[in-house]
Amino acid sequence: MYVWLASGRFAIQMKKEWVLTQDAFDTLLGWLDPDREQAGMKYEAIRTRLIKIFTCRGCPEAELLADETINRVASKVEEISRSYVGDPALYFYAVAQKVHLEYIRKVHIRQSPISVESAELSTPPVSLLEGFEPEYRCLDRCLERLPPGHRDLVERYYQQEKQAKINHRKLLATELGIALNALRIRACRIRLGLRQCVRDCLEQEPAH
Amino acid sequence: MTPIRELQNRIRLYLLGQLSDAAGEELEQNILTNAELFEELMIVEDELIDEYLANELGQNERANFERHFLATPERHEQLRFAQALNRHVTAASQRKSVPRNSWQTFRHTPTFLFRAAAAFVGIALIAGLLWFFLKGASAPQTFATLNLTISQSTRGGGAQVPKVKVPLSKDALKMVLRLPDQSQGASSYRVELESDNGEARSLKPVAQQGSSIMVVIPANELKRGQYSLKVFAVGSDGAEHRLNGNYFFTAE
Repeated sequence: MYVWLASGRFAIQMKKEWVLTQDAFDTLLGWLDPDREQAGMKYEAIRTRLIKIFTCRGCPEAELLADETINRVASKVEEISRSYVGDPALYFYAVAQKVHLEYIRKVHIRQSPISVESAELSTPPVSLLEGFEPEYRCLDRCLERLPPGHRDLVERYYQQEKQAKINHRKLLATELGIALNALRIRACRIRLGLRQCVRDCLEQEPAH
Repeated sequence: MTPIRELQNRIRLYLLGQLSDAAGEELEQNILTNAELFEELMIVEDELIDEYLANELGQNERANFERHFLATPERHEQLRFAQALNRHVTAASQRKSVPRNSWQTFRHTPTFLFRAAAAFVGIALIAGLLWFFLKGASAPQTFATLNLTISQSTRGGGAQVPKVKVPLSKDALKMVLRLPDQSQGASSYRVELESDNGEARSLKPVAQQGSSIMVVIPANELKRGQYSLKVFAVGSDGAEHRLNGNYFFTAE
């Protein structure tokens, strides 16, 4: 069942007759992999990627939609595990498609006659975004916790613009003795860790 | 186009909402089952954000970025993080010593011919700079002046923020920053100017008078937008201490 929150944001309520139990969750993990640790990692990977896919489709409630997808799969996992052949991730994808369609329909009804896309994707211009002073403060703290090599890499990888940036990165890759794409991946991983650190830091900061 | 370039291009189109439904679904299935592709998606996401902030996206890409890519709170958070990172990196590169970086760049250039050319360009640049400073023709002669006081707010919104019209009718904008009482008496000060698109630059005060310091920005470097200035007091041991609060102004 779908509900609209007081704030006007879209949210999904699970079917009342079905609740994700520990048994169902265990069966789901067992279906993903016989090894419990591997299964946990696969589960996390699927959930993270589903959230990303819903985000890429412009859904503000990406996490809720991903969890709804997982719950629907979990509710049928005993049946699926007996007959389904193939990568379980693709089964999740098929269910996610259905969840997304229902979401679109709901938004469409709510927002009609405005097109779903414009309703879903309306966004303020960047100049209207709130300031990023709290993020900057937290980033400073997070950078201090990084190993010096990582901090130096981030500061050097992301400096400069356009052609100067490309040349600079080639030079940095040569210095580190790695390929340009390996450098790109390394920088992205450090950035991702920093972003998570900033997110955690913001949660601990008093609201402004 | 190499396969990796082609893939990156496809991801880019997908992120900007420009891929067909069928191609998008195929890509999404691969994202769900392939860890490397998922990582590539996140890298391209970051690169798009950085290009947006650096004004490197074409007109259509920029429009699609704002309309489609920035549609979720998650992406707004990513953008704010990128703005913070951008500002930090700019400030860090300004703090780092120029001679070390220049020397490293020179040391790693591949050929002698390139080195010789670089040396020639370097000499020409020094000669040009000498000429520029000796002639002094481009030094600003006329100034528009803004008197700014420190604010504890983290944002520069509101009617009380001083405004200046651009383009300026003078050569440069002079900003007189009134220092809070407890921060006076440092041996020197450093100022960081930041625009609302995340660009930051360091300014050296041109004068220090009583309880105020003055910084100058040439008229041609001032674009429309909101600006904030941070002041760092430098002690006699060289240690920097940031003054609490910001100075805001708007160029409109």
